[in-house]
Amino acid sequence: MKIYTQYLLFVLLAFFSISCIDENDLLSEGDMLFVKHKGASMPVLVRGNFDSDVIILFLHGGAGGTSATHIEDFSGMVEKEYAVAYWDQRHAGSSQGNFAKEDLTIELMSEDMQMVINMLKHKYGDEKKIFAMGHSWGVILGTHYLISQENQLHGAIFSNGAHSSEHEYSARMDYIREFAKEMIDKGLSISEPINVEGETFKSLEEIVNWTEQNDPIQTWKQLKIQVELVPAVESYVENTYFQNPDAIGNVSFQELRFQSPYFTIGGEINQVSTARIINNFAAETSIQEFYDFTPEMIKIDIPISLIWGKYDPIVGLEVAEDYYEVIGTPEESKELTVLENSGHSGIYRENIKFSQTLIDFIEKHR
Amino acid sequence: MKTFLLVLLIFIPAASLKAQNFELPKFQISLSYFGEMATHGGIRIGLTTPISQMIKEKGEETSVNKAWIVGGCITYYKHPRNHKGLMVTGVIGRQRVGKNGFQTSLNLEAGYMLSILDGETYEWNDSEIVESSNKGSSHIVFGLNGGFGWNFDKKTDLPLSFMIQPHLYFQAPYNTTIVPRLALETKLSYNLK
Repeated sequence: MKIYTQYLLFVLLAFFSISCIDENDLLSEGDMLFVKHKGASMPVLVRGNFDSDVIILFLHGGAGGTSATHIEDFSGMVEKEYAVAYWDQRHAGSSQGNFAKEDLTIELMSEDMQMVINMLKHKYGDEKKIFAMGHSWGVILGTHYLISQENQLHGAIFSNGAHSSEHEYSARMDYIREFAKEMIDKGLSISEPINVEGETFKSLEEIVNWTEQNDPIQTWKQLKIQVELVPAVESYVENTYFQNPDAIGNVSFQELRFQSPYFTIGGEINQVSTARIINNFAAETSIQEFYDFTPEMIKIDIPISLIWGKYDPIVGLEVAEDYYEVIGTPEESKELTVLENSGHSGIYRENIKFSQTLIDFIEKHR
Repeated sequence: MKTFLLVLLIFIPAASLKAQNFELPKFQISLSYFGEMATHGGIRIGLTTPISQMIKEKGEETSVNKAWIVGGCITYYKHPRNHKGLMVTGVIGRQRVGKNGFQTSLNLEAGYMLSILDGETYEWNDSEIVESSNKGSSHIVFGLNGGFGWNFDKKTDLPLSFMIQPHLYFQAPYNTTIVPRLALETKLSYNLK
């Protein structure tokens, strides 16, 4: 009996190992293209409405994130209207290649972006109107592209990303201070002390005091402390001000991992190592010089839509308000839409409103 | 593959019981389903031979076999719309066949990998973007795999063994670092005496 039990066990496992080989639409729908550029081989999955004369080029977050997780965000409404090109940047997502760490720069990534746009126009026609859709780090990259490359974009939609480290840190400081005070007023407290960079914060009052004594941020140490203080208030903000997500796409993580073009283990390795490389670069730079595109943003004159989660602990709403002011785009061609029930991920959390705002903007400016 | 397994399921119990004094064969040729991340299918052929073998008697009619094995494998798989992988690797490992034919193994493997992008590929060619046929890149791979299964030869007349082997292997270079990959192999081996 023991023999048959063992035998049955591994036959069942063998069946299991081959039973889930069913292709879904990520493996068949749309076009999978690759751009090879200066050591990187970057995938661009183009899906959606190919009859449209608009292609949206997705600029994912990170740096080192992936566009794969945003297929869920756009497969519902946006892909019905337009083609969407989900590009994984170098050293991110499922991008492959072999290049030196020194080549992981925003200058080269902007060049990559130009190559991707060239490819989309070559493949689908020069008459196609390309709109960039940048989220978080994708806003930094998209903004850098617009001030450093010969622009081929028809317009851009940016959400919850920064153009200036100074504004990014300032907005985050306001977020921590404002909501810590609100929690104090409601008689709330932090569940356990926060230890960071040799300092211990035992109460919300200590956190408020720190934000008042360290504004503006001037050192990397202050920045590390600031980032670690965000979770003290973040859950409160989410529980108080956020709605349940209303995403209408349907791409599960399991589907991405096992039945898609994406290599999620590689993506996770890319994300960790990209962060490490960029942090090393940052450590060699003074925090004041880290990044600020403001002086050159007057050059940006294409239609720009800023769609922002109101309660973003990473890149707050005041960054969007400054972005709106400093670009050269005429008043009638720029807009700022606030997602009242979202933080950093309004693109997912208020997906229907986000998608409709994006569609309305493109229809107005295509 | 499923049909083949069904045939085995029906056929094996009917095979006659075999005498003791079992030795691992001089060579085992294997044919496998190789699934990168289990679901990205491929095929693998291999040849192994024992370089030292120990037989431990367990009563009059049974024994346990332990051996060091060496060999080589050629593996091809396709991760659709990502890449196609072709690997040529050498293997060294430890194999154990229990008294009832239950078999386990643990192997180290290393070799060469050719990775080919699975999609239209474009490159900048001086002044314009062009479609490129240059889709391949070379890598080294190294890793560990272990498995369990059944050596039917031990108790029946069938010169076959069947194993399931999870793989953990590393591909280098991968961007600026190395990357781990997982695979699941379902292996049928033919014993050459």
